Amino acid sequence: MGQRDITAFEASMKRKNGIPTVSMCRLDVESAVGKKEVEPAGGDGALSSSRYMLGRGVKRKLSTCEDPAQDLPYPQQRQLVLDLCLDKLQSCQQRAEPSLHRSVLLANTLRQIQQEMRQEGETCLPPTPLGPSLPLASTPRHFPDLPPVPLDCPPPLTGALFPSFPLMTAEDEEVQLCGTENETLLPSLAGEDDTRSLDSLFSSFEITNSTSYLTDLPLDDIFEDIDTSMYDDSDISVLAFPAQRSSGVDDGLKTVSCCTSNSSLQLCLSDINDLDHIMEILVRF
Amino acid sequence: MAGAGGGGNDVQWCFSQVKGAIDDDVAEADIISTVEFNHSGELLATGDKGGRVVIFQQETENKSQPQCRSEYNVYSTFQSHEPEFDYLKSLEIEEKINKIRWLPQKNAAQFLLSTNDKTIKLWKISERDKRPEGYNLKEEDGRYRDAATITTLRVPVFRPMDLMVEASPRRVFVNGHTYHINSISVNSDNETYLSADDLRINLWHLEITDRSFNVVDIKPANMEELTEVITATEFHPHQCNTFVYSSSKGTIRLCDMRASALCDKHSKLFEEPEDPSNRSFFSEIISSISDVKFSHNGRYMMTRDYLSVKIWDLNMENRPVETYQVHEYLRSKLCSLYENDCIFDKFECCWNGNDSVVMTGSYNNFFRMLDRSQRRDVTLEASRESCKPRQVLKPRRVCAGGKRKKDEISVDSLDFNKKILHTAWHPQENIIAVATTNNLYIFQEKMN
Repeated sequence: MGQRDITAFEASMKRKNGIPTVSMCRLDVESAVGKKEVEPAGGDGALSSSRYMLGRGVKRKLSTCEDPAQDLPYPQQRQLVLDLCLDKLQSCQQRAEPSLHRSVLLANTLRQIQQEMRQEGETCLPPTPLGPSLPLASTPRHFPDLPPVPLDCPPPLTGALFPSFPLMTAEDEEVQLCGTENETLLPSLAGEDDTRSLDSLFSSFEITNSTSYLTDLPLDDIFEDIDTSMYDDSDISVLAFPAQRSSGVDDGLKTVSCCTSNSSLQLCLSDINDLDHIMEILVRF
Repeated sequence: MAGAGGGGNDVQWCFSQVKGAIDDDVAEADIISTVEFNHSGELLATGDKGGRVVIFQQETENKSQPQCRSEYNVYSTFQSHEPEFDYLKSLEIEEKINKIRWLPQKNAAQFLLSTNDKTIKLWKISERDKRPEGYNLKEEDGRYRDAATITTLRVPVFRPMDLMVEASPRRVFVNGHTYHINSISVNSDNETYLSADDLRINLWHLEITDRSFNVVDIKPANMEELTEVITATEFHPHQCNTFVYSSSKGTIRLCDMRASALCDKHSKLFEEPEDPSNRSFFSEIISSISDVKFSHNGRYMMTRDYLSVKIWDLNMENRPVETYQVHEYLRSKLCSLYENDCIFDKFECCWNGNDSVVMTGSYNNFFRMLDRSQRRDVTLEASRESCKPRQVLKPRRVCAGGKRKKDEISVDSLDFNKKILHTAWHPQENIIAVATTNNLYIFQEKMN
């Protein structure tokens, strides 16, 4: 029969035993037995009649008898929906049943919010980067089960961040956290990044008639564009990296050169070097 | 029996049968994905996520016993679609049956179209109740007889045998679609049918499997400009040149194939202006139409969006003639439903035989009967707790807020995992088939 709802503070839905419960989203009205009737005033809709919580850690009031005081400012409501939107778009590819319909609806909602935010940005002072300053966005969201991000997933970051070789190491989590922070910057990015990402997302839904793909294609061609020169044990490949390293990383390089030719260790460390470099760029924004 | 199939609240609905496993642990393959009566109502087909089709047949009524209800029993079961793998995209193409549509019966055999995301198949279901016996050269078990032992000749004769129902694929319509097929519709001419995916609609001839004709294409030159997808399509029940298709933006386009070969330009556009007082972040998502069905008389069509059912007069494009709220109490829960993805659920809807009542599903295994003639509605529940034979279904009420009365259920107690997406109504009688996640309930009108 019906399931008792559990009011939750988290922005993301947790599935319990595979059964979704409607946890209380911050923007929704809570209807509990024994309270005075709460009706959406004048048909304003979900937002104006909702009870709002300021953010994590704020005590939840038991009764909803008070006026829809709109404690949560509209920008924060919007940010919540934006976060959810980005979450869902990013997980689109990993779903068991990818759906173009769903992606289009999410993209439209995202676009609508972005447009609103940009319009506001034009009318008032240019907003500070929406990243760490907003309480909602400050806590890096945790992606516990996120598998390796496929290449055609729409990240707002450049392709260089995601290694083109299929190594899943510890710093992939860092990569994903980077992604989190950058996603909150998304509204302030130029529109072209979004449309490029959407293009790759939407095109990925085509069912191709590819049953003979592997037999038709001369297999060597597939591997032509992968640069394997870095992985030759014979070269001192680490020291041959482009000289864009900050000084702090030199220790790491020296450590590596002392190691025996453990190629996987070299590769791990080179990942970190790349990552640090790009982190610097991001932090400057 | 009230033959015309009318009445919403006049009719009392009782439990008749339930099909499917009892335990709560639902096997993924058993999830029912489509339900459809054939044109006479004698056969009821279901498709599931595992690619199987199960057909039930109504027992011939015992006229001498009016109290006796005709029951639906399993007639045929077959594996319609198998999973496929798209090597280029590393994606599995699901075997889930998205839609089944019956062809009108022309001879002893029955035909239906079933489709998954990519491939449509025409199945022939035929009965065999006689077999030839008395071959000269073979024994009854098939072994060849020694020619030397044959001394006489006889003519083989047909003898009755236990009824055997065979299903065989007669046509396989491949490679017509790049995107996922969401609906199919057989034309009244009985020769052609439509299939729609997210961006295109194709017209097929039932005899021709290697070619189809593209009639609607809404794919933009740049995919990044894509903002709208096709969600359903249906042929007009009588006019073989007319069809409609619905979109994710809440519009319905009616197309006339006589006007031009490519129907990108619609003949009519049905769209209701948005109510500004109900505007929210989720307005567009909940306006997406999940199902469109013509009435049997061909004068109206019904659309289902997330919160409502709308009846449109084909002669009036600017607004529906009737709007029914299915579960308005969910409007204040849209953010939660967005979080848990329920807002993307696609509910279907159906008409009764004389177009006076429409039915659609909701959550908590509730379904709604909306009586157009009497402007009344009722909420019923498909549950194992009301499964005694001929037990009358009690109307259910949902309490949106405030004091919960006795027998009411509060919105927060609804089980959003128990959704009724697929329902079907017998074309002539008051018999309905309601699919919960993995069970099929059959309800009938209460007889006095």
